[in-house]
Parts: sequence; C-alpha cells; structure tokens
Amino acid sequence: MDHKANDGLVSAEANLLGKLSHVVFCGMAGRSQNRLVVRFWIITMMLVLVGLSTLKLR
Amino acid sequence: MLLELAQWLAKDIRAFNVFGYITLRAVLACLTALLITFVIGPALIRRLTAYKIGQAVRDDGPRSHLTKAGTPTMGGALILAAVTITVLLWADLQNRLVWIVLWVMIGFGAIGWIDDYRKVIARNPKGLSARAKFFWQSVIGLTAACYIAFYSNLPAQTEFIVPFFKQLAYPLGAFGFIVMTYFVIVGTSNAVNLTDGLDGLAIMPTVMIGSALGVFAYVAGHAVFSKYLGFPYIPGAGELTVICGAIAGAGLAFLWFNAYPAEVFMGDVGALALGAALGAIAVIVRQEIVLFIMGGVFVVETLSVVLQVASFKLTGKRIFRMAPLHHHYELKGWKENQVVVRFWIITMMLVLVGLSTLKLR
Repeated sequence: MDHKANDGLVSAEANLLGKLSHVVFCGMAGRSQNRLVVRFWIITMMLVLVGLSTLKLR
Repeated sequence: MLLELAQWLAKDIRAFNVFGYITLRAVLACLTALLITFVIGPALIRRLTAYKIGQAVRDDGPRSHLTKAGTPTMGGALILAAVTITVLLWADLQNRLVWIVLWVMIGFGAIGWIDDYRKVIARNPKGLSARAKFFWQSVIGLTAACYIAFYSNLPAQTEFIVPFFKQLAYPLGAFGFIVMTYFVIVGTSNAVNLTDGLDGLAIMPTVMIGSALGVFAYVAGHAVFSKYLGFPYIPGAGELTVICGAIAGAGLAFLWFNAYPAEVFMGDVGALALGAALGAIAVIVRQEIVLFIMGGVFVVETLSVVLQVASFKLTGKRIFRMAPLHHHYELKGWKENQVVVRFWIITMMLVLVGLSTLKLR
C-alpha cells in the first residue's frame, strides 16, 4: 500500500517536473545546451548580486 | 544625473540620502546597464543582421570557425552605450576620474569602431592601418596619462605599488608615471582584443576583473578602509566603483547574446574600449601589478602571439599550433566552449589571488 502510494508520488513529481521544464525551456527551443547553461549562470549571478545588496539595503 | 536629483530631493525627503552611498549606486549601475543591454540587444542584433554587418572569419583559423562567418559583429557598441548611459545616470559627474575613464573608454571604442567599420561595412580587409591604430591609441593613452599625472594631489597617486608588501612603493615621478600609464592602458586594450577570439572568452574575464577592480576602487577611495588595509588613499577613486558596476552589468548581459554559439560578437569597438577602461581604472587605483595577475589570461594570450611571431621569424619554427593560445588548444582537440569555460575558471582563480592582496600585505 505504502509502496504504491510512494510510486504515485514519484510519478506525480516527475510529471510536475516535466511540465515545469517544458514551461522553462519552451522559450529556448532550438538553442544550444551551452547557451542555456550560460544564461542560467547569468541569472544566478544577478540573483546573487540582489542577495548581496541586502547587506546594505535595510 | 540621478545623484544630483537625489541630493536635491533629499533636502525634503531624507530617504533619498541612500543614493549617496557608492555601493548602492554601483549595484544599481550594474542592474541598469544589464537592463539597457537586454532591452537594446535583440533589436541591435536584428539591425546588424539586416544590414549584413557580419564578421569575416580568418581562412587559416580552425575549421570549426567557418560556421561563424556572417555572425553580426560590432556588438561592443551596445556595451559602450549601456556603460556610458549608466555612468551618466548614476556616477558623480563632478568627479574628474570618472571623466578620464569615460574618455579612455569612448576614445578606444571610437578607434575600434572605425577599424570594424572599414573591415565590415566598407569591405576593406585591412581596416584601420596598424600605424594609424597605434597612433590614435597613443594619443588617447598619453592624454589620459598626462591628465592623471598633472592633476594628482598626493605623492601616493603616482607611486608604483607592489602587492603583498605593505611598505614597498616606488615613486615614479611624472615622466615614469606617464610612460607606465600609457603602456598599461594600450597594453591591456590590445590584450583584450587579442583574447576576443572565441564566444564569450573575452567578456567574462572582463566582467570578473572589472568587478574586482571595483572593490579596489572602493577601498582606495575610502579613507578608513584604505588606511586599515594599508592602501594609498586616492580621493574620488571610490566613484570608479560605479563604472566597474556598469561594466559588469553590461558585460554579463552581453554574454547572454555572446555565449556559444554567439548571436553577436563585440568586435574591436568593444574589446579595445573595455581593455582600455580596465587599464585606466587599474592605473588610477594604483593596482597595475594586480591587474597583471588578474588578467593572466590576457597576458598569456598576448605572450603567445609575441612568442609565436618571434620564434617564426628567428628560427622558422612555430611554438604553438596556432596563436593566440585559445586556437592552440582548439587544434589540440578541446571543444570551443571547453577552452572558454576553462579560461574563465583560470581567471576566477587569478581574480581571487588578486583580491587576496587586499589583506595579504
């Protein structure tokens, strides 16, 4: 019973991730993996900068 | 401009005093330059593509580069526009050091623009002649060097600082300072230009080194921090942090379009200008050797060309499979993005070594 319920949970998660990745990546269709990776790095760097700005902005 | 506006508004609303902080304006400059580049970037790439302003690829280069032929170039104009607009918005325009860096950056950008224009639009493969390019680089570099030398108020502003040693500083005198400043600005500019041969190879180290120089500028311009860390105090140098923030923001946003496979190249207009700006900032904050360390990738790329040419002329043999060095590794079998990311990693390490000189002295 537990095992089955767990399976259902995993497949639901996988389904959700699949949908999420579709949402995230559909705008980048046809672009190379490298470009995608670098763009995600850039987004992270910007978020880190925003995080660091909270040192002063309070 | 926004600083003046904030100061005027702060008379009635004290909250606007927050814009007086250099750190906040540097972060805002970074975000503003990033936004400007993101907004203008796609339209500029479309326009460059429509006008067929495409890069010519060297015939003797790696074969994998032949697919790059026709990729829009002169995208560096976008970086220059974003940095200039941002600096005019967020920096203190009463500060003469800000104007010196802008003068050097725009001046070298203009040389690069003319060179790119002749090569790409006028279809003249030689572009601007090497002699003319060197002459105008010298004019701009020497003008900036003379201005900094003759308007420096303190001896520390023209001393040669040796990193890792607290007490070691050589007074250069006006002439020595001008000569060194000239070589640092022109050398860095050309080194970045030589490195700009693979997608994203030049811009990311520029962003990292620019950010690190921002830290040095902040320390040098802060009386308390500079005294605590044993750095020469350079009044007004802190404002250069805003320029460094703008370079980092515009550079990162440009990388968005320049990452492999690139949608646009920066061209000489961007590479010469950014290199010269880094050189000028390093000279003003008295960190030439630290720039040499952090820009190790630029240095090695330049040395590879010098050694290759010297070796071929003297012995008829080549040291590298191809110069600059990034092509050597490509011909050894590394993928283009492997070379690029590995050179970024090396730069990150070198920047950390450079930043460690803040405390290790």
